[in-house]
Amino acid sequence: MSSSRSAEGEARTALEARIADPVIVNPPRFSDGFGSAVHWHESRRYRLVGHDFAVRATDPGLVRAIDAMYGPCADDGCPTTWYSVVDGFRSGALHALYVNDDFVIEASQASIIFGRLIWDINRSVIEKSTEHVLVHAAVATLGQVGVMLPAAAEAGKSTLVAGLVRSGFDYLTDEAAAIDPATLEVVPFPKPLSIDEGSFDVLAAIRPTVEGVTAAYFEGQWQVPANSIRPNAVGGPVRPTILVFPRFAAEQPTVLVPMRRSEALVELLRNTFDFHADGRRNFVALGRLVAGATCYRISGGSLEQACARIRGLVNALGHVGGSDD
Amino acid sequence: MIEPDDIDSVFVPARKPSVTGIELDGEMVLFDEQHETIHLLNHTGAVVWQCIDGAGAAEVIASDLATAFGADEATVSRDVLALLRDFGRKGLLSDVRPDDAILDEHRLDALEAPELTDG
Repeated sequence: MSSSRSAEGEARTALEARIADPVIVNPPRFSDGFGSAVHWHESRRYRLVGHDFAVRATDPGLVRAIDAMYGPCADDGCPTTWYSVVDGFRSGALHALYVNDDFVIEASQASIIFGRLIWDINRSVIEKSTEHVLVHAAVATLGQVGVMLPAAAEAGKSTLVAGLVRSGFDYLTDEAAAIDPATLEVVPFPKPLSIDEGSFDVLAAIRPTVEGVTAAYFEGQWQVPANSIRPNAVGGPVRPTILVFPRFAAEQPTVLVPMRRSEALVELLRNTFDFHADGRRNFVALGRLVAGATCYRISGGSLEQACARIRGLVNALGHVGGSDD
Repeated sequence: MIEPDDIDSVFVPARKPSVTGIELDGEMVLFDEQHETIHLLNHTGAVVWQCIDGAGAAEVIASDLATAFGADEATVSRDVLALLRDFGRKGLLSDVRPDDAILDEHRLDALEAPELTDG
């Protein structure tokens, strides 16, 4: 897929000449010349729950990173959605993102474009997965036991599930649990784990390696493929039987307390995406899920202790054996 | 349509068809599809809610519960009336006018619907 440097340079020049035209007030549509103006590098096709997409970019390193990030969801054939990441937009100093033919955003910082790309992929998964109940939660499994970690943003879901995967759990998602309302199984949504700066130190061992100029896309947040934390770390569908509601509290001791199921159900409802689109279905499904689960709250500042406590829960409930190794 | 405070011992309460309930460890969580509200009932509230069948008056419910739990009937009657009025304010009973301010407090939208995390 790669082209020679000179051919790429010519294409870039043509693109710059086109989009630097001062008479252009509104951004051009993608089909309005972009497709043939530059040499694109294309990712594989990915099916992520209900979303079917691929990414094209002028930076081959970015496409390699995308292929690593979404590898567990790769499929053959043509996607219904193309994301196009353009370097050298307008004056040449900007980056831009298109979804199919539509301009989405331009920015001087590559990380802003990349953050928007990831956000849009996640949002599309949620919008298109109407047959599932979608809860803002991370999910991991150990020995066929599903552990769901429902919480709002910034509660520490991604960090906690990264720690669990590192310690031997399988990964289903760090963002949205897609629950089949009939079977109550969570369908894997194995997006890369999104790790914010606050957790870089505690998760330094899983830092992804990104080459050269591509690193600019990843400033401020890591996108960590689960299989880079541990080989074959992505798990299959599972019905969660342990619900743990996490809350990160820096420098505080780890506290794990049982939670009433009724209280847990209300918390789950609060964390359900687009609950009212099918409120009764969502309510009944989540009620059944909670009725078959044990529920806890966990808070504290130590990732290691939190992971050990959750592993202990799985063991204490007699689901699996094993150690904290 | 009556006001919640007008519910008396001869009132025959009926659950609104738009309300779905789930019992969890003796407590109940109710979802009202019409008003898009969520309500958590404690053990006592759950017992009274489950006694509402659209046929028995408040005084019959109170009498049955007093007998079942060996409790003073006057005390139980007072508690049942208080709970039925509370259900009425929350929009859970047919033909009882809900309190809009209370409905607003119990809407899921008012309980911080989730936002997608960056990344």
